[in-house]
Amino acid sequence: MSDNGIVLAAEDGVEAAFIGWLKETLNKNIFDALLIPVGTPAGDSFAYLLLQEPAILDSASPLPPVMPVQGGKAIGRLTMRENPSKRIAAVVRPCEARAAIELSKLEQAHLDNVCLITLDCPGVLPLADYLVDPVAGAARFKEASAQWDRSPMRPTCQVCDHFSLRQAPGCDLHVGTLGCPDGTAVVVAGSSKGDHVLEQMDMGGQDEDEQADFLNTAVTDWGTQVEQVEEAQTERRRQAQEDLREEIAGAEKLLGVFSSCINCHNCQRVCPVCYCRQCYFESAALKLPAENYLARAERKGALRFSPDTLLFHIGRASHMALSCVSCGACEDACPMDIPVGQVFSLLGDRAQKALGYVAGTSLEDPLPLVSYEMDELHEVEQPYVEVYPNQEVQDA
Amino acid sequence: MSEEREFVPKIVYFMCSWCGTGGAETAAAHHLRYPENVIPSRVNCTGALPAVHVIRPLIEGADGVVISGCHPGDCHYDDGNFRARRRVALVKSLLDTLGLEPERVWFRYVAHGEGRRFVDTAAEFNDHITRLGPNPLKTRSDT
Amino acid sequence: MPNESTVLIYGTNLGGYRAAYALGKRGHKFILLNRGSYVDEEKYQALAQLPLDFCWICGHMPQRAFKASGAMQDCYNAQLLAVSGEAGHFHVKFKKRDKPVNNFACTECDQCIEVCPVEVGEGKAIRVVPEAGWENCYVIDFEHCTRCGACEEVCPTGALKVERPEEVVEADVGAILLADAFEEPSDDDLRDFGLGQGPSVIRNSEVARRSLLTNFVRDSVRLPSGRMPQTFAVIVTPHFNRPGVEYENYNLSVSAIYRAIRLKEILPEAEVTVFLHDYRGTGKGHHQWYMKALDAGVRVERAETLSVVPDETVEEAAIHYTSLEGESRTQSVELAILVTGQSPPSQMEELSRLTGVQADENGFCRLRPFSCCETDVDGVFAVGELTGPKGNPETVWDGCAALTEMQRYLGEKNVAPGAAPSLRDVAGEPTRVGVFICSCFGQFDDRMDLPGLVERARALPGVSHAEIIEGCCTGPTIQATAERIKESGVNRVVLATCTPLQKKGKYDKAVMTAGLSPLLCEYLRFREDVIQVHTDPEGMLMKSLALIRGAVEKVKRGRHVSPLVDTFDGRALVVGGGLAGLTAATEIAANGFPVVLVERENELGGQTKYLDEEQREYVKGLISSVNASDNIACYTQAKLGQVEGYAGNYHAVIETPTTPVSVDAGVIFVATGAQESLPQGFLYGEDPAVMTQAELAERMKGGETADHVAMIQCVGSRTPEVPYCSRLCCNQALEHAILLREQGAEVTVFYRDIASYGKTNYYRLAKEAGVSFIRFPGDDVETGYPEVRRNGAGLEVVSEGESHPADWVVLSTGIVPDAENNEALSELLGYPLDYEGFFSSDISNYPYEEAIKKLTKPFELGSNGIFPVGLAHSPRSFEETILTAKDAVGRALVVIGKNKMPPPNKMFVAAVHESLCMGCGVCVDVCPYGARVIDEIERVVKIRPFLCDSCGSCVAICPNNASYLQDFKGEQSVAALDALLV
Repeated sequence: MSDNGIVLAAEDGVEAAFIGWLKETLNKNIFDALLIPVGTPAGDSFAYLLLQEPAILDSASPLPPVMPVQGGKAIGRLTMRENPSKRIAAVVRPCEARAAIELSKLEQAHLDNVCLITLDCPGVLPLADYLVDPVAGAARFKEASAQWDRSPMRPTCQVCDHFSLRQAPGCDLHVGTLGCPDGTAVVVAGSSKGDHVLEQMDMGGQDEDEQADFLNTAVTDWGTQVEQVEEAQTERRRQAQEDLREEIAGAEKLLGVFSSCINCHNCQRVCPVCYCRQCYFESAALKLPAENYLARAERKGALRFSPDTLLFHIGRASHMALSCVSCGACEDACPMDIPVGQVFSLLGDRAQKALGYVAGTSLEDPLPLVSYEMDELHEVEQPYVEVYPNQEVQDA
Repeated sequence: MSEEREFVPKIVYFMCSWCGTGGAETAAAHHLRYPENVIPSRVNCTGALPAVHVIRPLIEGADGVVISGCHPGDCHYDDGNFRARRRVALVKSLLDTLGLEPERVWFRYVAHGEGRRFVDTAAEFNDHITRLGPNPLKTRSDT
Repeated sequence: MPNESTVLIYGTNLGGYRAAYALGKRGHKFILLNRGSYVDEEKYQALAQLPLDFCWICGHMPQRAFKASGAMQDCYNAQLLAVSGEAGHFHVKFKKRDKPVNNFACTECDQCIEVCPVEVGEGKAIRVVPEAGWENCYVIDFEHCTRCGACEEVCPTGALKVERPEEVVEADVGAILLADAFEEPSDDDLRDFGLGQGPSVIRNSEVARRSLLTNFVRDSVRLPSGRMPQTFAVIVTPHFNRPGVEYENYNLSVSAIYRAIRLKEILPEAEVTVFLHDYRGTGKGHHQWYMKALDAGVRVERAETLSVVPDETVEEAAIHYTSLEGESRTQSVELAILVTGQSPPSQMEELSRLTGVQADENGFCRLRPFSCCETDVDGVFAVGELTGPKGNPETVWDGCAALTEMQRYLGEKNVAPGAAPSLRDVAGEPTRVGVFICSCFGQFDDRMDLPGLVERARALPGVSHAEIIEGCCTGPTIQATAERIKESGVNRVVLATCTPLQKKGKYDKAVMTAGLSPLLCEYLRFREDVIQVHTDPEGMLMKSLALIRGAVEKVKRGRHVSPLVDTFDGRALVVGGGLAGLTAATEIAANGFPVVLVERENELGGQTKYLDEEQREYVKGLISSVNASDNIACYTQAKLGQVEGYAGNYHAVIETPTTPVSVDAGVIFVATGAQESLPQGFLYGEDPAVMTQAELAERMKGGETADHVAMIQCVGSRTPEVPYCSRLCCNQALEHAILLREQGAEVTVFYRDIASYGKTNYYRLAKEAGVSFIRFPGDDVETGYPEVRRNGAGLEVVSEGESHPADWVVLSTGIVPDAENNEALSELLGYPLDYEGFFSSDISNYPYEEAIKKLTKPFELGSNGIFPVGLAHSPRSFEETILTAKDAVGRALVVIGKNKMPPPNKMFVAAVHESLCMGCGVCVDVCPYGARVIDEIERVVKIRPFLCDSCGSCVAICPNNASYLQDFKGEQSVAALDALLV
């Protein structure tokens, strides 16, 4: 992380200050375009806009109350084919930036000309809750986020411990608000790209030493606060995951959890790191003749249709859990209220831990399945130090 | 004990085309025996075995899956066994998290000449799974 | 008259096998004379010195394919009788007696064993010997055999003849390769170590032999009484044996360390002591294993002398030894494991008489100077252990180097591949699966109800035909099976037979003769998976059906695909004009292939300051050859600017002082060298009397000398930063020490371990010359190294508190990779560096450089046509540098000159569903061969067919099955798996 940073302050709130700052970046031609959430004209949702006209920024909402589209997916859609020729700033939540970083490792996003700007995130409301009454939802979100109260947020957000990317080198600029005095925020750089932006924006003016002192204090205060909250959140996460595991572990409970699944595969469709054009679980590999199903039904006594629900969920986890950023988009998308976000988040955390990886925090760490160490994971190798008293061999 | 005897597990034994199957061939040359319910399935390299291929039998009727490839440094394709080891670690982690008994998956190196090691692995795993009992998923219609 | 093209190979060491492989692949016939009675009878090195407990060396030579193509003539019980003529036109006479059982025709049905009336121990007079080998060989114990002939009568294929006639054969060959195998010291040679005198002393090779079927386990070291020992000694015997009895391969100390680590793995509580004089692991990874042993709690005891006295009755042995300080000690252990060296070759005198080759002072075959394999006699080559103790890598490299060196004596290639039968595309035909179940000439009828199985198989969904066949492994049965397939009208085949690993060629032939692609067939190991391992009839039937069902589901979804071919450019690019680069360039050019040589300095020759006069002359000679060759274009002050493409199709841009030059090439040799590490500390650079060995050489050339010279070894080697032995420093220091002694200087060498290796025993010579040796405990890098201080006008070396005055202090500095250059080049070529910073090579493997499979793996394009040679590859002596270059040239010669190449496994190759591919590149990252690339425009992955060895890593990593193998597709494997479980 670089020491470079600035302090944002405005009387009409930090959001306005940040938007003002973003406008400046456009006006100064530091960025050619912004990708940022903006309220939809109908007023009941938010969408990412790729905007080049500074005036439109006035209706932007850097931290909308819901996440109808995962920002990582938006960045991927924009940059999937190539590095854009123009400089783009993407204003996203931390989990969205992490998804973008995972996608870039999978060549599904090209970030050379993208500046990832994240904000301390209070979480988002469950989409379904919000849609019941968007106006009330927005108010509820505003009130809760001002207090950093996560209780109305989605379950995955309630236990998020990556709400601030202050130490993720993949994120270029981070806007810290937690613990900052009202109406102020710190903007710190996480990469040389971010540094460069801050340098270009810093056109002098204030006394440099004084500014530096002020900044240092602000950044330190913010950092301390984030650390404390992170610690608390990590503990909450641990506890919640322990409880969740208690609820789902074992064939009986697990099948209970997924019993209402209608195989719509929405969780896969909205998942930012599920990047396949056609999912394996919808491919020819699993389009089997009736004989196959009949044989399986004979074996099991009966076979539920649509089939292969559990295979889909565990199999999908084998494809994406190592890149899972716990964003919870899948849970928002589930029409049957299955806690898929929490389950995948749990699977992801534990699988990533097993393979020494944290998704979306660094551009350099290789994806766990494309790399290996020669001397590792001996615990999965079944030891054989003595011949087995093999009955069959002895009988022969 | 007698009850356990009645349960004959279904076991899929994935082996690579080089060392794993070689071990089975050496076993055959020595007429070393192992339980009939261990069904071999050949893949070119354990590094070629997708995670889904391990998960699928566990849902569709197998009580256990055992995987054997070349010893470290001896992979016919240099590093397939190291990649397999990561993938097995992933599958075991997923199964563990979901309470689906990761010990139903074993990963043990067997070299071409190691016939006894091969049949011992088959027999030991068979006994292990027999003790563990039937895989609850295999009789579930709602998977 | 044109030169003969065939090569006579005498002996079966690793180098010989490797040469045979390369010759066969390049298209030369060879005659393989095996002194033994079966394929791996004469192959002890693998067991005694390959420190792994598994081995698969002979399996890497496609013997059956070579035999089928006529490239190989293998002769057993062979003896060379006479050699006449000269290089290019030798006439050889030898006698041979075929094996009683011709294993190429043997079906391994075991009927011979069953009928044999002679019981020998637990077996019969005819038995199977799968030692460490790849094929199961049936051998007859003639000592006990009564010649009753019962086995001959039951043999269904006529593969067995108890009495084979001895034949005398004459042949004309272009070159002779002597590759006689390693010989172990006898029990008497090891008498000082108590071998054979009690139950508590065992050879390491015996431990390995006991581990053959299981790998190393507790039972491998169990005492005769059944007790499990808890105290072990692992002794490197050549360090203590009488002179001339056994010689040490440099990897012996590694074998000992490895054995000790494995002991700690299986018996964590055991006390394990390794006894050696010095740890001489000079190869890649060797130092890391040494440190690992220390971490594992292995005690390493360095001794001056050592003997073992086992108790004759109690399972205990006393190790009597003198420490390096001269103190006598005794340690009692329950089991002493002897890691033994090799005896001088017993056949040397005979070979000398027949061919005129000469033995060196130690009794090994002498080679001409600067040659890797050529003896004093033109056209007669010697490889591997026959020419002296060496490690496995050098033995293997000898093989391909021999191919390079013998080219000039050989005529045109004399093996041409036969035409492939034409195959029918079955697309559009309704799927008809035929199941053909082998009865192994009626043999399986007794084991299970075959007609019942056929009945059940025929009833399986999708099966339109099922029948019993006699076999599919002899000429007539292959033909008959092909006929049956044709007649049955099926277009998919399941063959339930045996050992596809060995017999796949035969099965392929049968189905291809029937006009079907092998992609439409599946071969089941009916014998290995059912007949020979089970007894319960019901269980066998169910298992057979499960396997057949799986195979049926797989072949149903098989598709006929024509094999792809790609072009291969027969030109070479050599980067670096030092010894290695010059060698590679001249050898490739000598075979008629154009070469572009790029050197960054003004002149060719590389770093010559370490070389002696003869070596400099040799390099000058190479430079003249390069300049004189019409086939070599040379660019000096030039560097590689850009490289694109892949093996056979590289396009490079060379930046020269004038204009950039475009170069196309099929292979690239990386010969960019390495650097001397610059010492830090030890007053180096502060006091002119502290110098490196290279600087000492310069001073000695200038006639300077000193009264007291101290040398410090391992400066900048075997440290956490440079975690390897630089290999050359010990020999270099010892050579200098001997010269200084000759001039009257007192020389003291401060060392951690003297890792001197090679033909000349400089260590012994230095000791005889009166050089003093003082060991310092350098395993602790922080505190163990000696300190150099100024003392009045002179210097002193302080080691373990004792001061040793010195006029000169000479630092033996290591060799370090040219990090900056290597990294840039690695990036440019897309070719990895190893953990030591050198270019990754066949020896950069786990657990260390003897990892034999990578070493002997016969896939020349495994490194994507890029061959690191010389110091770019690893620290190497002058001779070894030439060896790495000639080995690489030999490997390249196998492929260049073939303008069109199919994939190595023909139609079994990776492919991509482009409509599903997202271009994410994970398959590109995991492909071990660079056989895949992302097409930047289409953003999908494309295959480079002849680089694909069809391992399937791409299939496993691809999340949506866009990647597949032609015989391993998602829809095939899921259905087949489900079918197994019914």
